[in-house]
Amino acid sequence: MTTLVRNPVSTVPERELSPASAMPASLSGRTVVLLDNSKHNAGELLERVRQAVDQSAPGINWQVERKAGAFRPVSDEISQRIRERADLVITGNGDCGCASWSSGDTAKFEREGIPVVLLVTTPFVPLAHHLTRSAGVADARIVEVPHPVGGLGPEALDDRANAIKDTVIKLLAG
Amino acid sequence: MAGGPKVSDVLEAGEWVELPDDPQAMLEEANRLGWGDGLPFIPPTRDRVEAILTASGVDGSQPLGTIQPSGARITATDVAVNAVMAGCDAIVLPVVLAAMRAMLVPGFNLELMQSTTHPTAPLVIVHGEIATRAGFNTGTGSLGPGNPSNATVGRAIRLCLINLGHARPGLMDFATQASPAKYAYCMAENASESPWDPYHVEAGFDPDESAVTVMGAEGPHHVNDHVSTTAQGILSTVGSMITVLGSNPTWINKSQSLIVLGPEHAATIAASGFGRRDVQMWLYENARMPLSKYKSGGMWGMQVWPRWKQVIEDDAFLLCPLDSPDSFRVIVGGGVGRNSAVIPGDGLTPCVTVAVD
Repeated sequence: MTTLVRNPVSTVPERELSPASAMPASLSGRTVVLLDNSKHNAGELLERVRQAVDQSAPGINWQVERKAGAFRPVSDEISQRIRERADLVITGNGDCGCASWSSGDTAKFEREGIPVVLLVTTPFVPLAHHLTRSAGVADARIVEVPHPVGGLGPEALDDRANAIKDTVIKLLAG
Repeated sequence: MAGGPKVSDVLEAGEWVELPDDPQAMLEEANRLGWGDGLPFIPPTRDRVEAILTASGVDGSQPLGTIQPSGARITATDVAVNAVMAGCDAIVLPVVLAAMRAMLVPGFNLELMQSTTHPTAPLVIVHGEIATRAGFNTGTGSLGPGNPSNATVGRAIRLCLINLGHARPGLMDFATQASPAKYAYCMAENASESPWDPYHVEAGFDPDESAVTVMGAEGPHHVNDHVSTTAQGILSTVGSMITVLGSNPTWINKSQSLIVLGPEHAATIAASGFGRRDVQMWLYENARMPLSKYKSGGMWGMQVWPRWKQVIEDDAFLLCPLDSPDSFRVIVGGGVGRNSAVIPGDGLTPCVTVAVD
């Protein structure tokens, strides 16, 4: 014998998806903004990524922006500067629920035609994919970073950067 | 009931599932499907969902908003289904809906609350006429088990966050250890034993209006003071639970912490001539620690502080972990005993008080 019940679980709505914005054909002379979400070691990881990319693609004009906190969306002031200056954005590090806001930031800039590479640690990769798709980005460029990043010393951060640099370089090459 | 025909449309538009009649087998199947909190539930049959909507006078077709992280657009019927599962009586459905609406307002930051590694859970405090009419526990044990209204409202909200929001532990909800507060976290203000105006009155409501306060929060931290005979004494003990490195309000601006004074502590504080504002001011002025202590761990280096805190360089300078006296939200709750509680907010969500329709 059975009982008929209403499924209490919601249905994820269908979204109109757009592909991620195209990367520039060449990075030389382009402005890349490193958007530090202010999580511990996020800036240090992004700096190591910058150094690795510089070796393979010199001539990039790098700029750094740092969110006031990882727990809220990117501010209007930083967003405006990115709109005015950036050819692309590399952002992170999503290593907790802050990945939800970094995903939101990613989708925001993608919708405005600015390509983004998002660094997220392993446990939060599915969340980042779900949220960027929910925001309409079909195939956000999400780089899986071994977890954790916060609380690590310099050598471990070097290892993290080495683990992801080829992926980042490949994504930037389009 | 308003919107009667539309209720059936909304109800029928959802998916219907056959579950085994046997309660144990039903629970096992529901767990396999990923429903709920792992505990037994009341099956949300068509009759039960229609009955709770009819008896409460709620229009099941009314949209509530978009819930995260699922992105689903939910209705009052969706909430009612989960309220039935939680065991809610119709009389408390408006309370559940009010709390859910408050969390779905853009800016509440539900998206982060649902996915963070912090153990935050939405604390729901019930005020005013509905607290009495629906039999909420305002006294001894109000944050614990045993009262159907407290228990089912708290549980209904958690079921909504899991089932409608898809915040399942380890999949979208990354609370590191989480907390028992994530099962159910609902209390009612003990206004009858408070020496001050009820909290919702200070928030702008009439005394007889029904309201809920919602805030993402840690579990309660006990404050045991059996010896102090003055406001200063009790608040010193309260303050010792605020000057901590491990709670988010220490590090994130615009945070709040709830001070739940037991009636006996509140009476002693009031006997010293303190009003609620005096409590807030005293805590802000005296619950402080030197800058050097902040530098020893916690979230030092990634703090989100107001500018006036950021420019302080003297390691001996005494800073309150919270931004302002208004950051301390003071209510009277619980029953007998010289016991109170500090409930730190999560620093991610605001503390809002909204009407219960």
